[in-house]
Amino acid sequence: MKKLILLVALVPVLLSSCKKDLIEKANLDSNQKVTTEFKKLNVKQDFDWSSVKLVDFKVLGLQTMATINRTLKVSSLDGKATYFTATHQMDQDMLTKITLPKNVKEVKVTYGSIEKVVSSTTSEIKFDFIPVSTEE
Amino acid sequence: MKKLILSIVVAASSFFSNAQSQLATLTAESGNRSLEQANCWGFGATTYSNLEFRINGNWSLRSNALTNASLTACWVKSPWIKPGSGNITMKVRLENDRGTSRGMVFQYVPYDPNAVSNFKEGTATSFYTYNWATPLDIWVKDISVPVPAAIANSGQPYKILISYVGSGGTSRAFSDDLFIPGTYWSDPSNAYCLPLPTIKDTDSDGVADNEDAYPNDSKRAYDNFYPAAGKGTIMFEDLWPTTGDYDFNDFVASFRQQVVLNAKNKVVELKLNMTVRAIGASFHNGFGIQLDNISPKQVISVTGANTGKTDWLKVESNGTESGQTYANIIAFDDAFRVLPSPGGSGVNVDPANPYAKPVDLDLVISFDAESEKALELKDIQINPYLIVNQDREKEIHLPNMVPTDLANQKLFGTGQDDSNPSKEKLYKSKNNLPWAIVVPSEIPYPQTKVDFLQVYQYFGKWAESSGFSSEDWYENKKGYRDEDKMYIEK
Repeated sequence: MKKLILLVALVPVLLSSCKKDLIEKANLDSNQKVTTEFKKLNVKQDFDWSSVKLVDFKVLGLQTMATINRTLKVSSLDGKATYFTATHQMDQDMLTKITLPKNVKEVKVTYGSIEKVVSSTTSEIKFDFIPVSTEE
Repeated sequence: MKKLILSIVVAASSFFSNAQSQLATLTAESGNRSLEQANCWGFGATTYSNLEFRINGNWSLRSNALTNASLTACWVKSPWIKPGSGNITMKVRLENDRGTSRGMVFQYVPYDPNAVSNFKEGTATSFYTYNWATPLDIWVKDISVPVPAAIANSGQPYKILISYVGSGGTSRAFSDDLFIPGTYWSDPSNAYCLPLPTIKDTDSDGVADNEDAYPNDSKRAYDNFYPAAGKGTIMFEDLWPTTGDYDFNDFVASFRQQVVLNAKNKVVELKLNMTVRAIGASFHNGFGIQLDNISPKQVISVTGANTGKTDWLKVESNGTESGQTYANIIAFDDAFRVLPSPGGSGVNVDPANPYAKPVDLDLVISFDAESEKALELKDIQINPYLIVNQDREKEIHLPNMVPTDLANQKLFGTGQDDSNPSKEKLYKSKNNLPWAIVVPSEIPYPQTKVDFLQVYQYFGKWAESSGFSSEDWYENKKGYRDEDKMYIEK
């Protein structure tokens, strides 16, 4: 019971803390003074100047009854930009690296005619062959 | 023995199986029905269960309560197979003895390419019905059903559909150890698990022509580009270790890298297309790339470099620069020789001066894709750099990229540079500013002496927010650029 009360008491504090962070970030976005000279930029030492990111692309293999080799492709959702293409044996796991523009938040992974949209917001993209449907 | 077993002969096909036929087993012992679905099994109102009524091992198939005579209520459907001869066998039992009737109907489903359904299933034909004797009991039954002569060894793909039916009561059916003689003929890489297709592979490299970027070349199969679409842009300030005017046009080039893989995903070639667009400087700068962590010995040859006789450049017979731990390729030793000035100061940075058409340069770096140490795509990490005004010891890299062996690291920390390898800070000024910028898009650059921030309105916001805002600062969106301050290429 004590634990429950403590948890309930903490929730508004935690929410308030999150809210404060969001407000501060919003203020940073809208009220940030615009620097007009490159030499006066105030940049943190750990800032990554690259406009692209190197992400791990992990494929979880599926044990199959036949050896299936097809092309594995990672592309933009509209298919106009292909970030990775190579052959892949369906029953094998794979780990490689892919370069993506930092403003790409989702990618389409294609294998044969299997297509899945996966998030690319973290440093890792995961893909497996398990179907989304439940009855077929 | 195990719960749900399907032993079938796997097709012999260069794309979809090993060269020789083999027996394969599919088991419900995975405990995860989705794995079998991914292998083209179908399930209707049947799940995997590890309850005490399971028949073998840890898992069996369990139907819903069988109170429906419909053949589409509870069922299990095999992948496409080319049926052989012999018997379909399985074990079944009821969960309890409450019910009026219980049974199973065995059907085969032909492949119909004209079917409306994406699964291309034709009309099912029943060929055997099993009825539990009444009163019902809970004992395990061994079922053995001959493959119908109409489909056995026909060479055509069929699915075997087993429907569970019944009336009254609550009893469910458990099933296990299902065996269907035949050759597996489903394509699990097809979203609808259609039968294995016939694939054309002209160069016999194992990659189908329609997926092969080089269908007539067995040594090449795939192209991987960076940027993935279009070209990127690399821009330098060339006064390092001193800071300059930050117009980032002292050297400007567009580029696209192309990594060619063979059918085994090994790197055959690295191609680098560069278009030298501008030289906003008086320095005679060179340009090179280091392939980080790749030995020069792994390079077979280099073509396309534009270099003359210079004292500071020594090249091995394979085209890599001498005296380097990692493979370095000097694309050109003097930007002005690639893009000569048509008059005036610099090239293509001052609108008042004559325009010089940008010049393409195509580097091709070949590797031994058949060796044990053959490279993979993830091994290719290009580290581009400028060689300042014929001084081989003075390199300018992208921020935090490592210098080559020939760079003079004593220059670190001089001028406005604040590089400190021990702190993993390289080619950044004391206030963390770079001397080079690269973007995955072909973008304009400022006119001479125009501060980069005057052209790219959101660049500062991007940098000062540590990248949390305006990640798309380089895109051509309304209000993002001041076109009056850009150099407009003709």
